[in-house]
Amino acid sequence: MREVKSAKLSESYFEIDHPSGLKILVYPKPGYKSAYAVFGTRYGSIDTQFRLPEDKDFTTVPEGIAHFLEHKLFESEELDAFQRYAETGANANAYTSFDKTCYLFSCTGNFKASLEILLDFVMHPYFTAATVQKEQGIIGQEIRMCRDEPGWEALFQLLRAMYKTHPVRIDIAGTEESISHITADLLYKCYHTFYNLSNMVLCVAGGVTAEDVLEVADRMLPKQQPVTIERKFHEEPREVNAPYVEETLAVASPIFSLGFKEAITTPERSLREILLSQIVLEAICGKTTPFYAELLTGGLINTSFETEYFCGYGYAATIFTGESPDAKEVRRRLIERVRSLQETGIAKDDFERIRKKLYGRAVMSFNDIDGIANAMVSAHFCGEGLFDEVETLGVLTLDEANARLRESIDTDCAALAVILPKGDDVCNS
Amino acid sequence: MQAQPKITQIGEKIRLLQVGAARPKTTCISILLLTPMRQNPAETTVLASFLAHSCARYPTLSALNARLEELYGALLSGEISRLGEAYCLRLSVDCLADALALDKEAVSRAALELLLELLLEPKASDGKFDEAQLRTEVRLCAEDLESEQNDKRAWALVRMLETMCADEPYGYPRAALLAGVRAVTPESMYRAWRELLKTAQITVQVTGDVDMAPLEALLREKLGGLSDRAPAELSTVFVESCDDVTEVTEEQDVNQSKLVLGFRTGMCDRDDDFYARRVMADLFGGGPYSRLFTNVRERLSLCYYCSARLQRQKGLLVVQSGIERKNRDVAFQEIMRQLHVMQAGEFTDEELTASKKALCDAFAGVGDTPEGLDAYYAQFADGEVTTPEALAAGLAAVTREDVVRVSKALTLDTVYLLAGQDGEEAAANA
Repeated sequence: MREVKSAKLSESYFEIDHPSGLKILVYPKPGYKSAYAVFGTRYGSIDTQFRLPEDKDFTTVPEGIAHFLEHKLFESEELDAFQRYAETGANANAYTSFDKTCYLFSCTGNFKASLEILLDFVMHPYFTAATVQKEQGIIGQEIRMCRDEPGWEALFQLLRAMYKTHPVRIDIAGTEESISHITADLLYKCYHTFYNLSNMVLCVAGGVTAEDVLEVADRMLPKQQPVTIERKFHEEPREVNAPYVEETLAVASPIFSLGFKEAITTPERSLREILLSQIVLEAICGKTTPFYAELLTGGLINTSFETEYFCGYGYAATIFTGESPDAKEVRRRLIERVRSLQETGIAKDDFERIRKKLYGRAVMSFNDIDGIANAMVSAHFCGEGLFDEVETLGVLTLDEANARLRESIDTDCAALAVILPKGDDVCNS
Repeated sequence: MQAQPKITQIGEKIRLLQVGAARPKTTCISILLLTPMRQNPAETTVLASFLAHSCARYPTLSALNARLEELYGALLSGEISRLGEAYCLRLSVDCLADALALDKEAVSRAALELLLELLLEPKASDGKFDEAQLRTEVRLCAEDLESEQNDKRAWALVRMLETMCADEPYGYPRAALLAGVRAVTPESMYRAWRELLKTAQITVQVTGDVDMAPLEALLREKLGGLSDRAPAELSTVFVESCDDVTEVTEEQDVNQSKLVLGFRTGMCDRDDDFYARRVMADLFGGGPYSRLFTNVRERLSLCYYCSARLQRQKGLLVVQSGIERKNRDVAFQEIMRQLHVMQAGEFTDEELTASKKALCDAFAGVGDTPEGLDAYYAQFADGEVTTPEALAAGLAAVTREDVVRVSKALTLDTVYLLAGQDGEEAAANA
């Protein structure tokens, strides 16, 4: 057991290499009544093709299977996980993203009993043809619900416009058609590949101790042989798939998602690159910039405007989303803004102010145990420590930020997705 | 350990509510102003946005945001919500805890000072709000209201409530509000702002680990000195039951239909048998142990969500579900069947215990963070406050008989369906 400390924050957490093969991270918050635990696996919607050392060929599975598996894991031959949590009072949930699946609960009492349930049901899959079929109806409705959410729809339209082959372009839940091909056998295949403890992490934050967590983990987790998973590397061209796509939905106002696809030579971005990209985004169109004010008062965007540095295994992009009556003009202005800033560089004062803001926000996030536990999962899967963000922010330089601004955003690799209200005329390109 | 909040009167119907939290990284400060919904609804809506975007000292959004960045990226928000039939205009800041500032400056005092400037010294002159900024704010508010239609789940709820409460202030239609927002003037905004300061019931909430003396002094100076205060009486119409059911179906080209049921609960005020009703609503359609989740979703596989929520401040219970259109009748019948199960007391003791445990567990953790406490206490801005501990104790004491009694008091008022095209095609293909 190793204690990881931050002098800046006067906070610390414990890192444990459990004999079972699982990495366990515990962040005690003395004085807190609640605790939050996440059991996550590095397995998400992009993992559609994979191979174990004993396999000859890659296994290709239906789109949306990671999310389907997340739903199904809550069931067992006897009581399902929700029924068991009902006895402890914990609030349990799960989520699937592009690159991970996480099972979680929060509670104020009965922590050990709830942790036991979490470890037990995730370690014991139970799938049958009948339970698989039942879930197809429920997830089918979840998929339809998401198709009516214009922000979500715009993001996936954008991802399909930016990426030709990388599975980040497919919907996390798949389609009603793709999930109809899911069988109990396929679920077991995915489970035994990705739910190996060597591919997982357990993160706990709140009013608990490392000893509390270990007592349950020692009892519940048998030693497992680690697996080596080979994930298919998707050859993705530098240029975008389509520079412009649009769709109509029953929305009141047009919604856009604009992305600059980044040319990458290694599959993953470092924390340093991610933080620098966040600074770059603030410098381009943060709320303090005259540029943002111009777009806002000019009626081109409203307060729903947001930016994101979006990256994962094999993909990276700088994304801008919002509502606009003229998304193409927003694109034109943003490209112009990026090019001019790439030429002049970010001003020293702006850089320092942005850094101070990001530092404050990073520190403020350490109140929230949900945020801490989920951040520990993400940091672990990226090979980083939880406090690296606060530490790294302190040592970034303006030159690095300017270099990042110039190399990460290629204004020739832009894609724009627009959701238009039904009945509106298609705008001219 | 969480202490009882400290409440200090600053002026007539102006109170300061102060709560501590364990080793917080943040301080949360909120100013909550309550006025009757009928008083300047459009202007009040625009004020929430106008006041949060500028003031005399920071006249542009860029200047204001630069100030927030100096305060370590403090998060400022201006929102409008409803507490029963009162509007609650809320200006709030979440900022870095004073002890963590790089040179230990009092971020909390600077943040409160900023909030008070936004509220009391808006960008206005000669009895008029700044016209150019007002044009932008009107557009932002109008677009915000229009975009509610983009969230179908929320929109179906809005439409159900407008139908159900058409004769009550609560049902004030979005269309009327939107038209009102577009019609505000610099003069009407100024008058509404003066009226807000004169008539609102005001609560200032400070949560975190701060030296309160300078904050309280600042509040006394700025709010205590407000002249000609005449706080308005706040009241909400509680319709206790309904005799005939209203059914409304609206068509939209959506992938999933939304079924929303509105019930009258029999409550005559926000505290009337509240604990029993809160547990009843949860057992009916709260967590995954609830009747609606286990039957409508898990057993019949009809939907991804089917939930029941109590709207305490208005005495309503709302059931929401996303379904295929062709399953509308099956889903409706199953929801009503589960209600009868509740009324007949045919739920198990395990279900009741699960519900109470889950609710108490959730409230027990509220005191861990300033954000949790700030959000929790905001629901009591219209009157007496209850601590999370007292609330959990009240819920824990609810019995099976209590749940049966309050579930029998439910009467169905309105059934609303936002109908998509889905079921039509499916029926045609069958």
